[in-house]
Amino acid sequence: MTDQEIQDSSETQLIRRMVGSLIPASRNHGIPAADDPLILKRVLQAVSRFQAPLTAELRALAGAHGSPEALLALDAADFGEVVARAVEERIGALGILLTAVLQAYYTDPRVLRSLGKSPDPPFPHGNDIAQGDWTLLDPVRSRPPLYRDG
Amino acid sequence: MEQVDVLIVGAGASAAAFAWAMAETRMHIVCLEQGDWVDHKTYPIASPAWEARPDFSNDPNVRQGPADYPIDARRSEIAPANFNAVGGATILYAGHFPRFHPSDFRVRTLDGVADDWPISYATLEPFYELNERMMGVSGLAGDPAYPPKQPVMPPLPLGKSGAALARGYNALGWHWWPSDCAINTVEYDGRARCINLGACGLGCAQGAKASVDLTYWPAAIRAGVELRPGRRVREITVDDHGMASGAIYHEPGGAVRRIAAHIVVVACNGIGTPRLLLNSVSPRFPDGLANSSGLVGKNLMFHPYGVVDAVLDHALDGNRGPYKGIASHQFYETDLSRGFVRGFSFEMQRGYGPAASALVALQAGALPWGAQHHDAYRELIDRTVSIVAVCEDLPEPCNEVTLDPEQTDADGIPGARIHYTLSENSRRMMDFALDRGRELAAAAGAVRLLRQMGPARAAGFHLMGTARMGASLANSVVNAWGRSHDVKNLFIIDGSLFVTSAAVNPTATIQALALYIASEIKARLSNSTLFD
Ligand SMILES: Cc1cc2nc3c(=O)[nH]c(=O)nc-3n(C[C@H](O)[C@H](O)[C@H](O)COP(=O)(O)OP(=O)(O)OC[C@H]3O[C@@H](n4cnc5c(N)ncnc54)[C@H](O)[C@@H]3O)c2cc1C
Repeated sequence: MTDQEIQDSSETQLIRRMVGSLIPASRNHGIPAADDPLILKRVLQAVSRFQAPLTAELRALAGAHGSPEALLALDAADFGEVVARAVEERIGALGILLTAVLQAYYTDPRVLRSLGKSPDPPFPHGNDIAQGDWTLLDPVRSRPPLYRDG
Repeated sequence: MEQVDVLIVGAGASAAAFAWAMAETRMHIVCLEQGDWVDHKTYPIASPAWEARPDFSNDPNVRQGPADYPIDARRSEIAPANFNAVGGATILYAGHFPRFHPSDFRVRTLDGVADDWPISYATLEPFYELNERMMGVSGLAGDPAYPPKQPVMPPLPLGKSGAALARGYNALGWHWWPSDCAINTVEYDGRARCINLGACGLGCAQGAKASVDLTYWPAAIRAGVELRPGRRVREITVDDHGMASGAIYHEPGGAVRRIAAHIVVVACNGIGTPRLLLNSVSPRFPDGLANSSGLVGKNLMFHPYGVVDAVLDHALDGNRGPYKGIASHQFYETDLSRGFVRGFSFEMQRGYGPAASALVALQAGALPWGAQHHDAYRELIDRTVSIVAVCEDLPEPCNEVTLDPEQTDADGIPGARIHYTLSENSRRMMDFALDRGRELAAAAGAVRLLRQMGPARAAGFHLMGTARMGASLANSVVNAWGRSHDVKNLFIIDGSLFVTSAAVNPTATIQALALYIASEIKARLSNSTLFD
């Protein structure tokens, strides 16, 4: 299959519509939906290793509505309901897709920035964390031993 | 055919410690490892999108790399995790490094269950100490849950997550203490200190976490041990006298070679070791090597993990800082009034990165889709700390590793299949632990709970018991110093040896055992009693 064919396949169209409905854009937070081309590309890459079970699942979902075209023709509200129900009822099989969506979405630089996080990898800069209040340990220090001898 | 003195199979935690300890004998020691060296600069944490790297998944069935072998876990309540490379699973481990308790070696005598170990805490104590110096262990002396011990460097920071749980423990009057961790809090032995990258489980690019490719292996190699990565051992061979004669292995690219050895040492972890022994059949050992007891592969123990994710109303550490920090042994020792025998520890999982936070919430059923998704997610991120119960599993012959009749690795060697069900005792312990976890979450000020689950399916980090040690062939595969009862020049040195699992992470004990076995071998070499 060529890239173009993959892009155009009804499963891909279904995935695009599904992920956009699962995580829509937010104007409030200034972030794209999960069907943003850059994010979608990474979703498709991630699920490509599990093509067979996912395709079977998507076909079953579309089949329940007559055809992929019929499912895709639903309006946003109806489509959203179908997806929400599918996610609830078929979490096992669709788990691959949901995991891929969340991983692609929450590693996207735009989304990370909107969360106040750096899109740069943590290494080599690292992070600071508080040492914390070690006097909290005082009551434990004064406890008698709680191990048994062997 | 090449002839060596000692052949070690596997280059993980146990093999590295053993190889280093044996190097002073000046024997020709060769280690064959199916995986490669991992370049720390290529770790996910050094690249963008570090949370989306299936090649560093701890599930071999997700990774499916050339070094991996398939493990069919469909008949198991817990899915095993591992990593196949120089360093073994220490590449991905969290570095939590507690010792066992003295009572863990005497479970039959003290609690009337399972079997006592053929060695005691006192036997291992000097090797625990040596190992902690070699690995570099941070912690704090004075823990009332243990006999006196002295960590080699100061503890990991409490941070906001640790402080929140510590307050909860104090409110309940429960024990807690900074965890012993094989993570540098100061520069140690040429390795840098931890800079709180927050992804211990994806490999530490800073090198502050003591994976054995950084600790023991460089020292062992300097001392003359030969480590050959990319070589997968297919079978251990035997001679006409029933002694191990060496191994058949695959070179990178698949070519099959033989190597002869006077001593063969298996260090492939709790699933890889029985897999290799069961794959090593011969007319003399038709049921697998060293298996006349029938116990190779039996008594597989995990630590069933119970998880309670507590969401607080203020920001915690999130993914800043090492995974671990503090632990509690309040419920470690047996108290039959709790409704089960033996016990569990609590460890802290400090927090999660942005993608992992979303996945945790998804698993908890707490992440709505559609318009509400964003606000719901933002209420959880960086406010979650996990209370993780590590339950002691007792040995059950029905929990086992067998060969997979269907799947093979890339060299055509049968993979492993596991059957595992939680025992009634473990289930009662788990229920109790989850109740206590909820109590702790409330005391720590949780405004909400996310996942409350046990056993966590994906938490098969610790693989133990499948070639256990003991006094006789009737109840064990190897003797008190790791030598096979059946094959007198074959040794096992990994967590397969464990008689019971205790209620803490195993690697400190696995490595102390490997050092102890090396010391026993050296003593017997010097008085020529090794093969008696
Ligand atoms: C995600 C994760 C987190 C963990 N966290 C902790 C923790 O915080 N604390 C703790 O104590 N433990 C932890 N563990 C467990 C710890 O990593 C193991 O207990 C430890 O590494 C076991 O040491 P080992 O020598 O038995 O096996 P390993 O370190 O796994 O090494 C075995 C090696 O043998 C090789 N091998 C297997 N079969 C063959 C063959 N046929 N031919 C050649 N080579 C072979 C493998 O490739 C592997 O490299 C964790 C494990 C994981 C996966």
